[in-house]
Amino acid sequence: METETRCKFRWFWAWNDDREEEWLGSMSREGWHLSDFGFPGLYYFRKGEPKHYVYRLDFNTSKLKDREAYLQLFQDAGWEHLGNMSAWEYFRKEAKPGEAPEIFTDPESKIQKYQRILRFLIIFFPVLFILFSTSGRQITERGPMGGVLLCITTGILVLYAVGSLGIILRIGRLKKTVRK
Amino acid sequence: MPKADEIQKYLPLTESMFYVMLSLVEPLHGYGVMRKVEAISRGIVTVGPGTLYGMFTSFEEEGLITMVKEEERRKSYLLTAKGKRVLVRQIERLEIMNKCAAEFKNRL
Repeated sequence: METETRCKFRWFWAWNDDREEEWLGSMSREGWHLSDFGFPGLYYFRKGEPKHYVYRLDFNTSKLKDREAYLQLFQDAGWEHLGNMSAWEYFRKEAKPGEAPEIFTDPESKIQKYQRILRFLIIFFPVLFILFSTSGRQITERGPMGGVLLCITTGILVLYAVGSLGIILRIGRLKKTVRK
Repeated sequence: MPKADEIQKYLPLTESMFYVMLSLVEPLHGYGVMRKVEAISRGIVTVGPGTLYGMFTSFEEEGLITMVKEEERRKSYLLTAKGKRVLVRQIERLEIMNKCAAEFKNRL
């Protein structure tokens, strides 16, 4: 019997990853379980029995040789690893309705996760900057093609700025909860 | 005294950090730590794998714990002398808190 599959496009910002987790959980409660993901924002689901799955995302920047121990730890704790999209690792665990198992059990480690994302963005900033400045030069040298290139890099730069700001604000909100 | 300051910067430990470090008085791998923390804290504290992995990484970098065994992708860790000093200092602080708790309990 062929199992029914479905592809959906949804965009989530990095600082709203809890909304993504919630959405994946609600899909599973309707019987659509995440099976694969492709290009950022593309999700593949497989039809099955409705289940109460809790989905959790981590941003893992540990070295490749340490990743095995990392994944083993999650597996030992009862989390199924679904795969990764760049540094994003997707996990899920079956839970009783109303139960919400967590991979991060204190606010400090949750803050550290967003700091890892921010650090990742900062590392790539020089690359983006070089791209931006070279495409700026292209505009005068190459005419219309340079304009297209500039549009694309400007778009990326805006995305980048919005992303970094969103994460900084998220960290700020989380830090407030620690002080309470 | 530079030595004292070196310990001081880790204090106070968060509740999760305290229990994770305590459980490493004997070599344990990640899942062993998770179970032990839950047991010794009487079920009050649970540590998720994301939180624990982050602690292992930073504790090892800071020299508070050290990896003693790697078996089937599971790493076991143990407290170092420095890690023990941090815990002793934390316990001293807790003892003062405990005395205060006894002193002031009846006045609340």
